Amino acid sequence: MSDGDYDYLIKFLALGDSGVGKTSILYQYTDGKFNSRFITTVGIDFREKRVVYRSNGPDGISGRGQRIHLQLWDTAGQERFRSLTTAFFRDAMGFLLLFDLTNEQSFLNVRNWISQLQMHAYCENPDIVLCGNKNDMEDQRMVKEEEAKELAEKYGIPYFETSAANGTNVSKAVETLLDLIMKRMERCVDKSWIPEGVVRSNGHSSTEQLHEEKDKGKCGC
Amino acid sequence: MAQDIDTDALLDLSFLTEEEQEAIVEVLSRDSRLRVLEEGRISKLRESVSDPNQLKTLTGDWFCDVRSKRHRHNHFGSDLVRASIRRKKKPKGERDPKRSASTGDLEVISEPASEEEGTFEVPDGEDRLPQEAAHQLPLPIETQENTSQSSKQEPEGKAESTNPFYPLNAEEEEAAIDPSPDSLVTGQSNGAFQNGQEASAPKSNSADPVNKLMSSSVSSLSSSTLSGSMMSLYSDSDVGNVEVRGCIQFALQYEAKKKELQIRVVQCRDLAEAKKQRSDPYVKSYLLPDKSNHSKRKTAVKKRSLDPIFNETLKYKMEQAELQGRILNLSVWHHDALGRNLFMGEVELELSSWDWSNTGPAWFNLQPRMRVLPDVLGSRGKLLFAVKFIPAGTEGAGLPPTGELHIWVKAAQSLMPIRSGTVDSFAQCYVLPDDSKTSCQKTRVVKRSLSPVFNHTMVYDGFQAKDLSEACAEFTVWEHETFSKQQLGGIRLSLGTGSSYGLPVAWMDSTEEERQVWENLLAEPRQWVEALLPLRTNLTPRT
Repeated sequence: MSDGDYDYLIKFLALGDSGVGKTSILYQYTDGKFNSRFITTVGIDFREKRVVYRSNGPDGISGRGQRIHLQLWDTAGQERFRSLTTAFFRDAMGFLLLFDLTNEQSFLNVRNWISQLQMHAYCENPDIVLCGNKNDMEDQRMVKEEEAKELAEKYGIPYFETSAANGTNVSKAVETLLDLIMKRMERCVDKSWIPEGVVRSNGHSSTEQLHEEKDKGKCGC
Repeated sequence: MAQDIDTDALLDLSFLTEEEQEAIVEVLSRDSRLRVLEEGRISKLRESVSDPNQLKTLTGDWFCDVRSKRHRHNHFGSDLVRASIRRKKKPKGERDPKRSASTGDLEVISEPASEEEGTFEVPDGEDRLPQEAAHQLPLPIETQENTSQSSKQEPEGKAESTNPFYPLNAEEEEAAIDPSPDSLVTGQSNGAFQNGQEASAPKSNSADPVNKLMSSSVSSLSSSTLSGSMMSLYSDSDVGNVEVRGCIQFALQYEAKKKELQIRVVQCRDLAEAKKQRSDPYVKSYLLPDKSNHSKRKTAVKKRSLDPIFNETLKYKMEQAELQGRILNLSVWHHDALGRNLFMGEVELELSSWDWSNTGPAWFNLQPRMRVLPDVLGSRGKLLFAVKFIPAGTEGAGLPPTGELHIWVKAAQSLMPIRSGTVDSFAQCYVLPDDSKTSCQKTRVVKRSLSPVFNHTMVYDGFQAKDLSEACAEFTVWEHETFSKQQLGGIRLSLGTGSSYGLPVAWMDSTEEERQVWENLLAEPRQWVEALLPLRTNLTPRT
């Protein structure tokens, strides 16, 4: 993974209130592991992962896999690091915006995070995926799924209820974001549809990872 | 990344503890490594991929293009943070109150060096090796320090003795070693700064009103030690103090069908050892005056080699006509795993004087100095303005108490920004010899216009007519970017006598038409004198 042996370098950034699970969700995604100890992120960090992106045509014939090198920026949620983390917004192509399903304030702050993104990201309407994390702690839930879905719809962004602890929807969320970026990339360069050899537009796309990924969409207990 | 990050635009990260800083810097180094790999991958792609759309997606240009509409200079967040952390490391008392003036000095100081290379700009119709034109002086860095009128002078003994910083600085510049921590901030800044940071410690002296000469020398010092950071105008890396040695072989060709300039970087020979008895060199190119990412190309890194063979072609898509106005800058850098790349030498060629029939590879000696060249274009637009002098007491009832100079900055026309497209601009004025912050008045920034209407009036007072004979109203128009600014050009209104209050000064260099305006101003008090004058790019740097 240390050579330039990939087709695309894609940069994502995870943001949200302190303690919602940004570091955990990324760690779960890249390493398939979870650590329940809370260690606050110092300002900024990132993880990397190599994946293969494939998009399918409508008749199910898969296109050529594209090797994606993902750089996943992890930002501190703490207010004191705000000026620092904001400086990195403009470098990311897509955003994972997280809140904690057991913490209502973190959900209320989603609006603020979105307006921060609109101000500091590379454009006014960057690709964002909203994640309600800690889905595994159902008994402490403070935010209803419908409320969150409504908010996501209002902003026109996908919403997933995730669990960094057991992996629910983690890959799904990242892959959805990747798919949005790959499609936007095509739109940016060429209005007409895709030249051969790159990503196909039609139909749903699926991603496949070089590392084993066990759970896709399994429910937490 | 390639352009100055204005000190004003740096973040205040003083809240970070030492450990936090270290942790963050470590993250930034990892990011640097990834970026270098990516640059290598991209440069290979530019060479091999012909479909422009595919190239755009593969290189990430699709993203940079959209981002540059919003963040024009395309600085990476990690560069900004790194620079901000480093600024935090400077000792106290260095905060420069005259930041805008010092930025001006920064650019100002750079020009004498290029003026010395006067022959460089004159095409002589033959292939000329750049070494003939450039860097004639044995100690170009010291020469750069010289702010006095005749730019050929070496720093005088006088200046050295009055200025406590001078000896230290001179030592530091001559020794090709890493700056020691107990030398001044200047030392640290040479090694530690990126992106045109200003070393403000020396400038703390500029608060001293007593010795104007001293403060100018101080400014020049800070700029010369900024030579490190000025060098990093070309990259986000430090220059360090690597000896420059060796040569580079490359070929130039313009492919008319593809409308492409092709720079075939063949190899380098006899490079210096950058660090720990080795170098991991790569070559970087810019087409000046564009110093942005857009203009930057890099080869892959060749590990452990003092005679690296690259065999890579760096390409630029552009119209043939555009070549005339460009200067090719090829620099060799050592890629350091911790992200602090070290400068190992450069070559600059004015493309207007290049023999395009010569497509074979040629050897060029690497030069030690990086310098900011004067603008290739003589003028980057025009300024429409009006000026009026109201002598004391001429408005009745003893008003005004002192003579007033009214300046009405109306508009600029046909601006030519550094990169094509539109520009966010503002105009700024000083009435010299007063170059203090209070003398500086600026218009607001007008966005996205090549003919911005400023419609801004300024008043300066305290003059008698004879003062105005010794003064100069200097207008400059700047391209405004979020974290930096670039001067597009300026106008100096004065009698152009070359001296002020008996002292020779560089800024009494008005052209014929600029002089005419000022003469009319003095001849017709209380009358607006309007003019539309070209914004010169050759304002003699002021002391």
